[in-house]
Amino acid sequence: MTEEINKEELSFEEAIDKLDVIVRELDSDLLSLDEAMERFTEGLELIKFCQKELDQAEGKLEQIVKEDGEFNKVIPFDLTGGDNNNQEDD
Amino acid sequence: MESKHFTVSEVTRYIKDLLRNDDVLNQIEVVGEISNFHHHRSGHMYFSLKDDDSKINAVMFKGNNFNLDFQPEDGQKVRAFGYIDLYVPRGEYQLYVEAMSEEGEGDLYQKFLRLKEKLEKEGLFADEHKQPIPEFPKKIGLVTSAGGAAIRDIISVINRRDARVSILVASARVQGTESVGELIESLRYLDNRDDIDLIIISRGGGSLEDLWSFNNEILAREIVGANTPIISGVGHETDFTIADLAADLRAPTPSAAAELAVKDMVSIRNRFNNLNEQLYYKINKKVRDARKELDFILKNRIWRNPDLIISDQRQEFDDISNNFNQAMEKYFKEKHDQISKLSLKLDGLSPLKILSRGYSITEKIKGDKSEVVSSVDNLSKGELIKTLLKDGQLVSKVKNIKEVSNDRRD
Repeated sequence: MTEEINKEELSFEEAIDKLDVIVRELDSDLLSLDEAMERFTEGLELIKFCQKELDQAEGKLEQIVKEDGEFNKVIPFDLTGGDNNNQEDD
Repeated sequence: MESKHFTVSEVTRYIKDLLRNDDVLNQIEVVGEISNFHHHRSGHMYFSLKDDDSKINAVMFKGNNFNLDFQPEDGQKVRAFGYIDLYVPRGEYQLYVEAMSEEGEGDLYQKFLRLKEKLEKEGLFADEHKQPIPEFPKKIGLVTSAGGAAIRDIISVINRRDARVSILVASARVQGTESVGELIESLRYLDNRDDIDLIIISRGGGSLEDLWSFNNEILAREIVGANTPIISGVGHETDFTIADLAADLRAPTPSAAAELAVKDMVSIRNRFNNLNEQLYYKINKKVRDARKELDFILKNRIWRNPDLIISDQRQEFDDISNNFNQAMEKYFKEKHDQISKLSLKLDGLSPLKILSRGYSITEKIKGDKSEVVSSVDNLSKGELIKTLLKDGQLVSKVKNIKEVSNDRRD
């Protein structure tokens, strides 16, 4: 079994599913130790890939507002502000 | 006034001033039926409003009609807001409409059904228009009122589930006459950006009237035509709007829209951490088991036989620390073969082998155990015995005992 992890094409979810399969395979008696080591190495690659995805920075919360009648200014969105409770219609 | 006559213009201007200064006429609401509707190339709309007895000319300028939430047509009953003024070149008074709504909206639900049927027939809601929702959107565009109820729910759900996701709010009023225009504008803006992976269009619960902006044909077409996947979350579970049908995915509520948009990273992280741990645990166990098995084999008496191993196998054993896997596999295979050969030899000596040549073994049954009988002295009349043959066993009762050397009893 050769290296078939193509990280460019792999989605995060697929990587986790693949890792799941590998862990299951390691659980079975069908694998030789050689094969088991191969799967393990593959698993390490997947872990590295997933970890990188998980370690991404926190997202931004922003609002686009109008200037001269056009949406063109991005400002931080303040969730605590504008607390006039039922301002559904501005 | 002293002059005896007026010019046409003077009369006209005089009347114009009268009209303009009238409190009733300069802010008026007129209900009537549209006739002679004409949408001019300039963008202005010209039509008349009439009832059974009368008729009044009306104009609605482009600046006012661009965000109308319906397409006016002849025969339609409307409520128009505006003022009466006089168009000097023709000396005609007319209604200048600033805003207009469909009259007889009492049956909004009927209207909703009609529009739904129309767009359904046209195939606007068909699956072929539905885009897949991205699994892990990095940036989500949010179209809703920045001061509304829905936005808090959506943002807090997204943050709780996956804090890595960025959100860009393009606020729009979600009810009232300006609403449809703003919703479309915000949607279009977000769709045109190239960093938005997914758009949520939403508002909190309300009456059918409150949600009416989301039952708009133009908005529906805008949603279907957008290149960015769109999730709708309008009102409560039971509310179904045209926007919901047009969206790529409909969520029953604003919070549900956020849940459909963003996967719960808490559980995904847990799953990942668990798999991570398992991977190490499993490989360690595998190696440990292999080592144990090897130790067991090496301790076996067979290996104490000096001819068989010690010399060259000792060497191989040393190599194992360098090349554990290969050595062990080879080992297993060779030893397995040797064991097979040995067990074949042992087989030749087995009592079972003797049975196959026609001999049998007799056993005395004692409760649930049995013991081999080698002399008639061990048996008495009436006892049960088991006879082992090569392909099965017989159970029988002793009827008669005869000793071969000296004949004691019958």
